[in-house]
Amino acid sequence: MSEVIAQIERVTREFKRGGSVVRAVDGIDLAVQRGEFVAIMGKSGSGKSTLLHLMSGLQRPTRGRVVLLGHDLGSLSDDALTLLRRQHVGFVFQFFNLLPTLSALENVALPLLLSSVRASEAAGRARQVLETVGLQERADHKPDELSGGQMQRVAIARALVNRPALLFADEPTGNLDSVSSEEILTLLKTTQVEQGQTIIMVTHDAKAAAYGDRVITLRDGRVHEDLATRSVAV
Amino acid sequence: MIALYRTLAARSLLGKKGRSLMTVLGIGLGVTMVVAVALTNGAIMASYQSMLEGVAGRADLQVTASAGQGFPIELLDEVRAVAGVRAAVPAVSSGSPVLFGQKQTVATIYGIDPGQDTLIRDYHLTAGQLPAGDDELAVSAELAGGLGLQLGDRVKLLATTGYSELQVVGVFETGGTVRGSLGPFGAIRLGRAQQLFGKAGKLDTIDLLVAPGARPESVEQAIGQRLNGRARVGTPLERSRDMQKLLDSIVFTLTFASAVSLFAGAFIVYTNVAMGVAERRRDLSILRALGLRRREALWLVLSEAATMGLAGAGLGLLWGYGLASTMAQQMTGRFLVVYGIQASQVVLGLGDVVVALVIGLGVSVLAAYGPAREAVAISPVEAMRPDDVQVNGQETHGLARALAGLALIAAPAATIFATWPREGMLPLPLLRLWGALAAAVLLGVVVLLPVALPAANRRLLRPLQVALFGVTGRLASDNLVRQPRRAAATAAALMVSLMFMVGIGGMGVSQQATFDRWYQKAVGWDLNVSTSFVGIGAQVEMDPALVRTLEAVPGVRLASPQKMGRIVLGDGEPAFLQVFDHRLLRQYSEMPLEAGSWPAAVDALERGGASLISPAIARRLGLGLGDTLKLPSPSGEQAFRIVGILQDVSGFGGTIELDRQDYVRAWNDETSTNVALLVADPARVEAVRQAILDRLGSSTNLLVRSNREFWQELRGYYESFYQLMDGLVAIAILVSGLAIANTLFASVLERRREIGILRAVGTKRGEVVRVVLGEALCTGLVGGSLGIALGLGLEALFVASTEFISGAAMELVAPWRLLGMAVGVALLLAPLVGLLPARWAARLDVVDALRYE
Repeated sequence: MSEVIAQIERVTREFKRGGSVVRAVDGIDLAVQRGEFVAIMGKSGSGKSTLLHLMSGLQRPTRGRVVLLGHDLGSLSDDALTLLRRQHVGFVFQFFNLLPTLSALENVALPLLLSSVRASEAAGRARQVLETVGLQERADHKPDELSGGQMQRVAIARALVNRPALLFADEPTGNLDSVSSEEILTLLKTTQVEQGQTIIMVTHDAKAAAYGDRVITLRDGRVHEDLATRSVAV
Repeated sequence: MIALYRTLAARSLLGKKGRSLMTVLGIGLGVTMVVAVALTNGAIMASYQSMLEGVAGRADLQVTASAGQGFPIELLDEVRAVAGVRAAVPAVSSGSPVLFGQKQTVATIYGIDPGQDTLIRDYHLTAGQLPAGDDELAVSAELAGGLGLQLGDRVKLLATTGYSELQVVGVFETGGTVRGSLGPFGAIRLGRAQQLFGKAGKLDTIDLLVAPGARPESVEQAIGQRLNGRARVGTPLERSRDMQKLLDSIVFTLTFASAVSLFAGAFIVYTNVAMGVAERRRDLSILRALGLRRREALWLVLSEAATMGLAGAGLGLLWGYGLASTMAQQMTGRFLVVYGIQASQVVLGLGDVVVALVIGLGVSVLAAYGPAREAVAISPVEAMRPDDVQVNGQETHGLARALAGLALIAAPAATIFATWPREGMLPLPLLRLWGALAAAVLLGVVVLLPVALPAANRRLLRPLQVALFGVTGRLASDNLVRQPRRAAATAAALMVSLMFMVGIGGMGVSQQATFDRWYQKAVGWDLNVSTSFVGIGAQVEMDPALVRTLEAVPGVRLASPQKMGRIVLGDGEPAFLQVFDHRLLRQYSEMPLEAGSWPAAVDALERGGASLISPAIARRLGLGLGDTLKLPSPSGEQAFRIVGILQDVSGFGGTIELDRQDYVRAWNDETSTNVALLVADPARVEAVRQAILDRLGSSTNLLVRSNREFWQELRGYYESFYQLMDGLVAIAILVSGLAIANTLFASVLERRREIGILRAVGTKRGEVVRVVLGEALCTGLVGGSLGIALGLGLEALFVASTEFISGAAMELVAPWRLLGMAVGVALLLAPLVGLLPARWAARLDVVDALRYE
């Protein structure tokens, strides 16, 4: 039985740039089911990153409604929205965005520590997740001692450590070579298939999008295509 | 280059108006202090020299008394007889209150021989004539203007026997060949002045003209031999050295204060420029890619700093001028008036402007050099690609830095220890060297701090922060050491301010506690009567008849004449002379002694031929208990057996105490500066005071003070000095607060993306605030604890060295209240000023921050 986990209704987001108003997202309606791997594609400036920011609650829409896990984000305070992110949402960014002063293990444990999980328990869980991304050996290394692919795997581990209902990935392979890219995409796909993880990924790379089982193409802030595909098998 | 400056540097300065303004303010405050201290010192010295030159007129040489009430008039003929003396003009002088109606002012009154005096001084009479009769007075235009005097007006002048009335018969301008300005000045006939100021048969000065062809040095030597200690001879300007000595210790402390605020200003420049470079890393790399050469990049950054430095210097000049006017006025009111100095004319010379600009510019460029070098090191490609792992930390060159820091701390400390005076006083050059060495120790701490900070963080701060604030504390303490040089610089700014606060303030606390304890023992009278200032310099002496009148007032049990003044010793240096009638003194006071017993000493003093000296005199002259002290006097050299070493709190370069009978005999002076009274019934002190005022108040200018009032007055002198210091401390703390806020802004700015990540993974705004404030708290803890420790060290050094500088011994007292305040500043200042950057960090737009590179 399918369950809608994220839904946006007639969402518009405008930015002021110079004197004029730019409409990055223009009245989009969209629903994402639990367990889906949605790839959002589009050219640069098509509004795909903005859409991801809106769906994840990092930004608020100018108009329209975003419902995440049954919560209308517009009605939540900043702290409540932050808590929702902390507990139910994971992020993977193009530029990894690890904290350079923390080791790989500590970076992964960070969301748990923020949720006041005991340090020993947080370390234990972080170590488990690092194992699933194949980095148990590098747990005590700082980010500057890791390769790009390894850093991204740490970032994914961090995103998964509190078992989020939703994982948002913004160009997760945009900064990686092809071998590392494939590793990362396979890792994401595996978490979807094995753990039923819902994933919403923004990419401009068709090969990456092929890992999703639904590909939405944006053009000028609107949905141009929304296709269910047969995704790459892992 | 100019175009580059206009398009890039100037625009970047204007683009960040708030930050540029903060930097300009920081430098401005530092320069303000430097300018204010220099101008105040200049104004005081200029006024003093002008007055000396004014009264000295054309005199080549001057004969003055070495102590007390002048020297015998017979010396005039002896001096005249010396070969090479063309003219010798006698004078008697006294600072004295002058009353006209309700108005009163202090003027220098000169007793002159009108026939001869014009050889030395020019009196350009604008009205009337010079005094011809005994009750006639000619006044300077300043004195006439101050009191609104016209020819024929009658004024009251305070003399040793009380008020005397004189008639204004002339008003004159000073100028022409007279180099200086006399200020409020009055001239009466010599004989009348001798009578009014209790100097019958005596003179205060002989102004000498050297005959053409004679060498002033040989004439001076010949007169010196002739006088043989009965009076001193020298050039008029030699007297200004004494004033400079008095000012030196004040200026030394003030200079220290200005160095501190300049130091803090430098930190602001450093953090601001560092922040600007960090922020424009990408721009600079693009410029480098487009062909900007390394030295052009360096120039670009330094030119921004130089612009702010110049603006700060300009601001500092303006403020410094204003502050100097206030300071000069305050110091004039507090104690300079005693010397006849009106230091109200603060003059800003070209030299001051140049110095201020050079300091402002120099400090800014020096402080910006480090960050500018980092800008130069930016490679054209480095910042072109977004890099997720940011440049992590600054290179600290750990070992070399640690060694340099330790050397900078150890070598000066060892030098101070090695040059610590075993005997004698601390010469001024050595004192200045110590100042420089103390600054070197401070620099050593600053150099060492970036290396010590990460270690201290690992062992102390991080565990503490984690225990208190969990993971946000951990992040805060980690952030602290990511730019160790900058974090150290910020902590150092706070450290220096608090060191200053605890060190100088602590010295004040020690000084006051020592003084209070001394006062309780040494000053035991119920009432003290004087006719003008009790202090050194201009005061009107009291006639012995006045003592007898006081004794006769009902309710007075005892009246003891006391004499205080300056004496110039055989080595040419001044000391404080106090003369008591010890038969009476032993009934109301006990002089605290460092060596010798009071009962034995007071017996010996009573018998005569004995003296007490302070440790400073003992060191200066190499004398101890039981040795013989030789003093110059108008009746030749006098010998006194030293029967005790006084505890000295006065700080006038050492104190000598003699018995009245010896003093009267050798100095031929029966006047006193004040009279100590014991009251028969201590409950009736007020009634006795009123009885005295009723009996004598209309005929003389009486100041009758209770024991408590006198204590408050003396304390007031200390307090006004330390109030000024408090003001400086406040400025220094303000500047270090700015530096901390600045560093935190830089820190937040550089970590925008990290803050974005934290927010994205679910860190609440309040928690982001905690991370930033945690970093601030760490800075406060490091700077605060070091500052407090160094401040206590500084206090100990001050207290220990004061004895060698001013001759006043001090006990080291822990300044608890100040320590409490310092801890408060350390714990609260940083988090308080951190609120703004912290809130800014918390309000960063998550998506913008994530995009930020």
